[in-house]
Amino acid sequence: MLLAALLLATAPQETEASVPELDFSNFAEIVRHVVPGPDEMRWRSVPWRPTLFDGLREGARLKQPVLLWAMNGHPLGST
Amino acid sequence: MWRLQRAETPAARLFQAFCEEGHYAGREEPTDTRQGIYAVTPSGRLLTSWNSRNLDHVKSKMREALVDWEDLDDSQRYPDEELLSGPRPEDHYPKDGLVLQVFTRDLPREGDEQREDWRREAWNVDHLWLSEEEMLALAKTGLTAEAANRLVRLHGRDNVRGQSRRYPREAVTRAELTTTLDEQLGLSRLVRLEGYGAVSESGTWSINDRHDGPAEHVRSFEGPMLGRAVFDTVTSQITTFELAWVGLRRGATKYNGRADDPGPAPMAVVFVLAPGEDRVAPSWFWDYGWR
Repeated sequence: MLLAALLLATAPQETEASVPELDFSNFAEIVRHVVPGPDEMRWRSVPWRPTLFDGLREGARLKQPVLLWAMNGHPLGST
Repeated sequence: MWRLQRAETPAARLFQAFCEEGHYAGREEPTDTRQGIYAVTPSGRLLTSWNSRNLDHVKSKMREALVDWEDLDDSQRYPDEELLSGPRPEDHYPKDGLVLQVFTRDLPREGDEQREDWRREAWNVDHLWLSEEEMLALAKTGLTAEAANRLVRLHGRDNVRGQSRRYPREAVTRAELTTTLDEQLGLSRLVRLEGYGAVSESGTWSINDRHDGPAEHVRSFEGPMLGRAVFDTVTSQITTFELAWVGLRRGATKYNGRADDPGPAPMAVVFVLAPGEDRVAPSWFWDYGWR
């Protein structure tokens, strides 16, 4: 909630439909707020291959079955 | 997923075959989705499939798949010939350009009455690729008009809670990102990025998946951009990159989960360098026009 505190402190007149002024005094806080932290990115610690093709080809090489996670929207991008 | 369901590459054809044998088999009212988790052999033979992220269920199904795997011989497990790729967006990965992860998330707002569930913390990730030529232009003076339009129309969409289609090119009313040299440190150029993006579209569409019909709607996103980057003049690579685009989002689309929260409300889009192993193509790569 540090970001919220910072934004509200620098723009006390804000309403629900306002946007914080973007400058280098709050830039780093905004970036930290938006970019997911390690806990939110843990699922990416699995060495997913980007496509089914990559998984099948590597599965054949390593002689292992393949787990495919398929969503409407790539699970590793724009889910 | 779209590609797997429709492309004619060897891997996509295998998917189109085995997905009909899994948890979608025998549906009396087929839908257009094949979402789920599939365990398959490298030859493309289905072991099992499911559509749940419940941990116990996932573990149970994975064990089931391994039991089935043990019952197969090599001729069933592996393809007779090496699988061929077929054309893929990943083939266009710009190794000499710039590869960015693009994160979107709501910004805090006063009077926030969102439900106390995942929606409050929701975020999404996509990718932006710049060619070597576009990256060098960005390092020197700013994004080209083409790249700036692409950034705004593909990443000004509100996908915080779910999928949202890209804006058409003509929906972009302002797209600019300029570069200013802040400091020259030896062979590194420290630059400041400043810009603005505005995109707006009106038309007829649904905003609540299958629970409403098409109606007149408007959606938009608009606001300033600010960032910083370091360009290594020896390797001709951008080695540090952070860009924030902050603005007001308005409206909803069929699958982006905003029917109950159409705004206007503050949202931010942040672009950072993607790790080298992240070669996932941008979700709207086909709109790049790269051939």
